[in-house]
Amino acid sequence: MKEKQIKAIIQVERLPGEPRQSIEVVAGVTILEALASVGVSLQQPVVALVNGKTSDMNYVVRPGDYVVLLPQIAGG
Amino acid sequence: MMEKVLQTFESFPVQKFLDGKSAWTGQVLKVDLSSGEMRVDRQGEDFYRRYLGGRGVILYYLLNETPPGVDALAAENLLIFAPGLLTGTVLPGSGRHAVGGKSPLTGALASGEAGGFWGAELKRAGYDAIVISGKAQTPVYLWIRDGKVEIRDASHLWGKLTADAQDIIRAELGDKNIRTALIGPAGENLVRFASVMHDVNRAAGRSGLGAVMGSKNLKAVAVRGSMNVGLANKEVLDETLKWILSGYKTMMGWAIKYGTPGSVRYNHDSGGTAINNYRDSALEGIEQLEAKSYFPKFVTARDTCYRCPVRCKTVVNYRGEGANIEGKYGGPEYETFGALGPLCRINDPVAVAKANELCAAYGLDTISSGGTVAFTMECAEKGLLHGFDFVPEFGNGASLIESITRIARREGIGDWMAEGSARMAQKIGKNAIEMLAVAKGQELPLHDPRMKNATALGYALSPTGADHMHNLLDNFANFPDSDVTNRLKEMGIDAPLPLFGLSDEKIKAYMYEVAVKHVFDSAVICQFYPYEYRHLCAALSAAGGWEVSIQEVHQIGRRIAIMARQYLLREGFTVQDDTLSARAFYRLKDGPIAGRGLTIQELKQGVQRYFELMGWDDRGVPPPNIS
Repeated sequence: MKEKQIKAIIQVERLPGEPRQSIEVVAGVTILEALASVGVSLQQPVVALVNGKTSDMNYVVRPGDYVVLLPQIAGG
Repeated sequence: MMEKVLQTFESFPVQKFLDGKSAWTGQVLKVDLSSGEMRVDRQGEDFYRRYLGGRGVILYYLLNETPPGVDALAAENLLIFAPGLLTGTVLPGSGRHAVGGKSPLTGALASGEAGGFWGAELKRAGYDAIVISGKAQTPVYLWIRDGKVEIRDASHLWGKLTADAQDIIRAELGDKNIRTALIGPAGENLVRFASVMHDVNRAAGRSGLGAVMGSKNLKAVAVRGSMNVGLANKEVLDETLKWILSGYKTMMGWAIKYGTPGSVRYNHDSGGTAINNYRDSALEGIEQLEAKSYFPKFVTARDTCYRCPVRCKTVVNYRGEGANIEGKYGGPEYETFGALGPLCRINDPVAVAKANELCAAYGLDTISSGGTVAFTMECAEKGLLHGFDFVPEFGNGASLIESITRIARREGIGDWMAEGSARMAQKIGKNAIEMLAVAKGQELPLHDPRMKNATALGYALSPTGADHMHNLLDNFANFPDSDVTNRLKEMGIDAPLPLFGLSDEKIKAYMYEVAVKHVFDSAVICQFYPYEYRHLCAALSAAGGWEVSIQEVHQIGRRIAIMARQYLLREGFTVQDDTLSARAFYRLKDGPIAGRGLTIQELKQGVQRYFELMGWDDRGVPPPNIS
């Protein structure tokens, strides 16, 4: 059975202050798997905001989700 | 101007050190300010292999040479300046040292690390550490140059802002390259969260070490050294040096671009920064504090630490309506932005940067300053403060700036605030205690324990009261390829770990990471470099000349964790104190971390599990005779 793939949006900011890159991904996999599937790798730790809520990086993306990845810095 | 030398001392030359083949001299300078007596403790290889320096050495002297239960502001307390085995070596990130003693804020351990150049300069002057006891009859400062030490009169420096005092010291000693550790008026006035400033803009900020220095009538420690800090086995470090020098631009891209201020917006957006004394989930106008809008208006240059190519520090120069801000005091880091900004519901970057400058000039810890001011703002908002001519109010930048000055001078409400929020709450009563955000009486850093639950456990267990540096930040353990995750994998932890909660695996991860952080803070190196075990082992092996394995790194870290626990217990703390105050359990109704946070019960269980993993009993008492 083939269904039309239902998608979600992930916005990635790779370094503080850089323009956000908007990526359309397939739902049903984790945020990291979704990024990997479109060839995006992150060098800097991020925290995920899913529909405005802080979420685990292993969160499984649902259809229509809006995910923003925020770069994280320790210390200071 | 008086330039009086009161006492002099000269140590023995250390030929091995002069030959540039050792990272340590074996000389710990002991200064008794009551008698003016100075001497050297000679320490050997076993000492450095066991304790490394920094926090390890601080705990060694506190446990062995202070009486239990001593008043932190009494002459019997020690003030210890301790670079580490790696301080001042060729390793980038080694421009750090630790300062320690018993804390006048918490009554627990005070152990703060500062970056910059001072620690490396002390080693270049031939000393691995300075242990200061007693109390001078009148204000003095120490002048250390290549083994020679003078106790000098500082009557003319007392009352001066940090930069003014530094200018006078450099002028009267005739050397503009002298490095200084010094206090401002806050330390002199025994503000319980006064900092020790280094070259004016690098703080050993936390837990009130500036007040300990002030209680000893010690204004400054000026140092100048011309020796080389060597390595016992340089070749061992080659691969690590190559890794850093070829990769730092990528690995540390965030630091090069904006430094820690780059995270102000993201931590706010993800619920990492407490807002309005922990009651709000967003700060209106946060974009004004965001690095991309703040940098062009305020940051005129970048600064760095000894041998570090990254230059993550900012220099803020500002001339404008409302305030002039001087670049010599550096610029606010993330913690400072959070504490003086969102925590006080302030979105004005001029107020935050000016308050930061004043904290450096007076010598105040910015985290406890912001925490205490925010707490006081809420007390004022709720009508709990009476009879003061001034009280601060949320969102009012001018009242933040006024508060900082009043704290340093102990004027009006400032005299209450100078005691820290926990003592203030005790004075005001139950309603105020509900508004506290502290652990063991120390104000929480700006990593919200409701979002970062391992960090919450770390705040509760820290031997210094709440601290984010010897801790585990959950967000880094939740990311697949962070330095934290990579280190945990080597310890057999199935990382990355879940972002929220306190799983058994996460408590183990906390235990391992805290041990490593104790090693970082003893060695003493910068935690911004994403060192993995191979780098740490190589650096320690190269410096010491003995082979250090991952197991040995953990043995040392565990030893220091045990010593810190023994010190806490000795000073009268119990398992009842291994907790957090009310605000850590206050639930937000909306925003990115709505409803999140540990319960008191979950935190207690986490504390007990940590004791179990460490082999301690249910009161957190380690078995006797552990080495």
